[in-house]
Order: sequence, then structure tokens, then C-alpha cells
Amino acid sequence: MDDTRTYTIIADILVSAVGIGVLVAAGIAVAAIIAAYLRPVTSLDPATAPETGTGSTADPAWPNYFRCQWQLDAEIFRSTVLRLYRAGYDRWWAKFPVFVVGWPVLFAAGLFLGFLSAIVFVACGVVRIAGELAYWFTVAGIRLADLLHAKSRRAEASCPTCFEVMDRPAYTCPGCGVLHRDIRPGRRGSIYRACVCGHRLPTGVLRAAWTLDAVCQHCGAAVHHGAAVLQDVRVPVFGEPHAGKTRLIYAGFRHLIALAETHDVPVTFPDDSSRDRAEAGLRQIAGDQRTTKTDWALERPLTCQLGTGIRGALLHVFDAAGERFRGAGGHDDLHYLNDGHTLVFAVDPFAIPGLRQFMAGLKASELRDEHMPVYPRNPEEAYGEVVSRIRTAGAETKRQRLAIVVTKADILAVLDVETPEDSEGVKTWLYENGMHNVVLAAEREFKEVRYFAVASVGTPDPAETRHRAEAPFLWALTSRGFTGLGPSSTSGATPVRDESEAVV
Amino acid sequence: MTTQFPNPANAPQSTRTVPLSYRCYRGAVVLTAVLILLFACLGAAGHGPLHALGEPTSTAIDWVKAQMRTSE
Repeated sequence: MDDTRTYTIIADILVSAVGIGVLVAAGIAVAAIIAAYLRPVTSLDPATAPETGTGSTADPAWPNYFRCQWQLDAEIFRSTVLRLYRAGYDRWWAKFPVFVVGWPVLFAAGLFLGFLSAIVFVACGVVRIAGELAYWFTVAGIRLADLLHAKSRRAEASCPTCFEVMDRPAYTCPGCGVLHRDIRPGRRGSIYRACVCGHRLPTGVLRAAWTLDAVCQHCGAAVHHGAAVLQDVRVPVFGEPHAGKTRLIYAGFRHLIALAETHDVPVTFPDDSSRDRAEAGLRQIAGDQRTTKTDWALERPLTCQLGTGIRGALLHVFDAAGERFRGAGGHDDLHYLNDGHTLVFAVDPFAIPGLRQFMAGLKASELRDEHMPVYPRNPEEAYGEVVSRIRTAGAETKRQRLAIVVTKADILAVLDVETPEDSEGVKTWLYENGMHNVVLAAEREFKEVRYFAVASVGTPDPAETRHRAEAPFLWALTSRGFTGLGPSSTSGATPVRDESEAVV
Repeated sequence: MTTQFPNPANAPQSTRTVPLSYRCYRGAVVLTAVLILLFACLGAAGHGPLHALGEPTSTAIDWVKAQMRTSE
């Protein structure tokens, strides 16, 4: 055999070895890609994923691919490549003929496998860079939209059961019912998050509020649909027994609904409790009947939704029996007083010292005697109880507004007692009739005080713009920035947007 | 109405399905790898995007051919 032929045989063997090595390497790479990237299952357990970060850590959702699974997949690819390549040395065909065919094949396969692995890891890097950029831009965009909406619309969520106020509620998965406490986009998903059950949930409060059932972060009770997106206006009403608080609320609602109709603003009662009570209360007001005495038991707020979509508002009005404001034991559990935006202090004119004295001098009449309290108590005592309660709880009255509402203006009119119509007039009138302590204290202790005299009647004269029962509630709404019903004609309130109030 | 807080550890294991985003990202990795390999092969054969920019001087295949001619 001449040298040329020998070289040709060796060259053929080497070329074959390289060819077989390339095929072996390609096979191993394909097998590893299938194992790491094309299997339908995953090695990640979302319930115990090594997730980092705050807020969403406890949420039972799959982490974003790059937070955890990306590394696992890369590791599966690497380990599969090494395992299959090393296995080649243990095969008989790798050693036959020893050092002549097996090793050149494995050597060529190793080189080509390194090249293919490098390509896969470069591809991983490219996808990660592009994916992370898109991911964080999306997360930042959705979070920013949520934040801007919450700040500009003063959107919060409040629990009608435990009265807790939250930035955002928790949401239940429609698929399996588990709670997602932080629905904001983040490490658990950008546009959507996948619950452990596989159900896809929208991220961001602006979208979740309309599609998922919200519950209180604190007690787990259901909160209103749209909570934390709709403007939240909380109005606790307090005052002595028989001050006309409940009547003021229902008369105010009745007229507010009528006003909303003229502005084409839909009004709904979003929960069964509010719907049932409103139905009964509004019927009593419309029929000019007496409203039912409020029980001692803690009541859920009377909530109505004004408007729809992101421009709507939830008006929560809290009522409690007047007896609750006679001693700390009665108002200890009225947590809503601390978080109320505008407190409505209902003042029974027949309990005002100066007016009581004046009434006593009038000729006896059935109407006067019916409304004169048997055991009169200065209304300022209820005021003092509430302010003390708020301060004791660590809240600041300086961040709240106060509407001092003299009720029963219609009855006073029958008794020939004229009540002023504007805020300054009512303030002076109260001051001169023995309520100077409340007037002076309220101006000092609250952020803003407005005075009203209202007639809580069912069917007011449409032309009559004075003593409207909805005026305190309209002021509460407009001062929080809800302008869907126009500015309050009697209060002249304009939306005030300062940062200090946003935390109330 | 009070909702029971479920324990995430008790989530239904058997019904778990891999999120769609995982499949998308994995598919993107495979697709990118295939594209890189394709461009590498095209580049080696003288048809890659870099060669399209100007007159190709030499390719990997040219180099192999030259080596074979030398050995002959």
C-alpha cells in the first residue's frame, strides 16, 4: 500500500469521525433542548418557589419566567448535555476501535457540542435582555397608571365590615378561590399573573377591580366592586339621640339621587345591606313618615355608587345610635370615625341651650312639646366624645373636615324660628345660641368646618334652594374632588386637592 | 360574608398548568438559538447578512476547500 492511499484512508476516517461527531453533538443538543425547553411540564413548584421581593411573596402565583424558571431551564439544558456526552464514554462503540474511531468522534462531538451550547446560552441571554426590558417597562407602566389614578382620584378601598381602609384589597382567584394579596404587577407577573391553579388573573388594581372579587386584607370580608379604583368618600354621622341623624341621611340620599338624575349620573347601591336599608329608608322619607330608630348594634355603612367606571365614587355614610356618643364604651368600636373624610355632626336645634330657652318661652304647642327633649343634653358633649375618641386612637382631626348640621329647619320654620341659610350665618347663629364652645373648638381642631341648616323633608319645594338635606353630603363629595354632581350650591365648596388629606 | 384564607401549600398540585408566558419564553429561546445557528451556517457558506453588505473575501467553507487543496 503506497503512502497516498494510507493518507486517504486516514483522512476518510477523520472526516467520518468529524461527521459522526457533529451528528452525535446535534443529537445531544436537540435532546437537551427538548428536555429543558420543549417539555410541557416544569420542575418549578410555584407554592415554594424561591421568590424574593416584598408584598407578593406570599401570593400563590407563578413567578415571572426570569425570576426562577429561567435558571432551572438553563441548568436542565447544561446537565442534560453533560450527562449524555459523558454517557458516550461508557458505551462500547465509543471504545471500538479504541483510540481510532471512538475518541475522534467524541472529540469532534465535544467541540461541536460546545459550539451549540454556546449558541443556546447566547440565545438565552438575548431573550432575557429583550424579555426583561419588555417586562419591566410593562410593570412600570401598569404600576404608574395605578399610582397616578390612586393619587389623582383619591381612590382607596374601605371594608364595610371592619371599616379597615386599604390602598388595595386582596382578590380571590375565580378558579380556585385562593387569595392574591398584592395584585400589582411585579415578580409574579407583568400584564397577567398565573395563579397556582393555572387561572390567569389581570394585574394592577385598575383592571382587577372590575373582573375579580375583592376582599378585605384585614378581615377577609367582601368589599365593594371597584374598590380602590372608585373614589372613596367616607362620611360618619354623629350626634345626640333624636338629633335627626338617620332622617338626615335618607333625606340627603333621596335628594342626592334626584340631583344625580338631573346630571345623568347613575346611582346604585352596591351591596344588599345598603340596598335593603335604602329601599326602606327612602320609602319612609318619600312618605314623610318617621324613620326607624337606629339600633345600638354596629351597622355597616350605607353605601351608594355615583357614576360608573374610573370616574365614579363610592359614598359611604356611617350611622350609629345617638346613645353610643354618651361615654367611651359606646363609641369604642366605631373605628370609622378615625378614617372619615368629612364628619357630619347632626345638631338637634331643640337641644341648643339658647334655643331651648327661647322655646320654653313660647306658647305650648303639640309640635314644640313633641320635639323638646325630656332630658336635654348639650350637643357639644357628643362633639367632645367624638373628638376625644379620634385623638385617643392616634388619628388627627386636623386632616378631616367637619360639617355641623342643624337639623329640623322645617319644624323651626313652623314655630316661626328662622334659621340662616349660609354657612357663616349658621355659624353666627350657633355661636349666639350657646354653641360657642363647639364653634371655637371645631374651627381650631378640624381642617375645614362648614355649617348647614337643613330640612330633612321628603318632598322639598323644587324652587327652594335653602336648607337642602343633600348639602352636607354634596360638600363631602365635592371637597374630595367628585364633581359629577356639580359644586354644592349651598356650601359653595370647591374641590381641594392637597397632599395632607390624601392619607386620610 | 367572610372568606376563608386558603393555605397556598394546599393549592391543587394535579391541576397545575405551566403558564403561557413560560412556553412563550422557552419557545423564544429555541427560536433564537435556531436563528443564530442558521445565520452562523449562512455566514459560513458566504450567504450571511455580513456578506450581503459587501463583496465576500473568504468564507469558512472557502478556507476548508483551500486546506483540502493544500493537502492534496
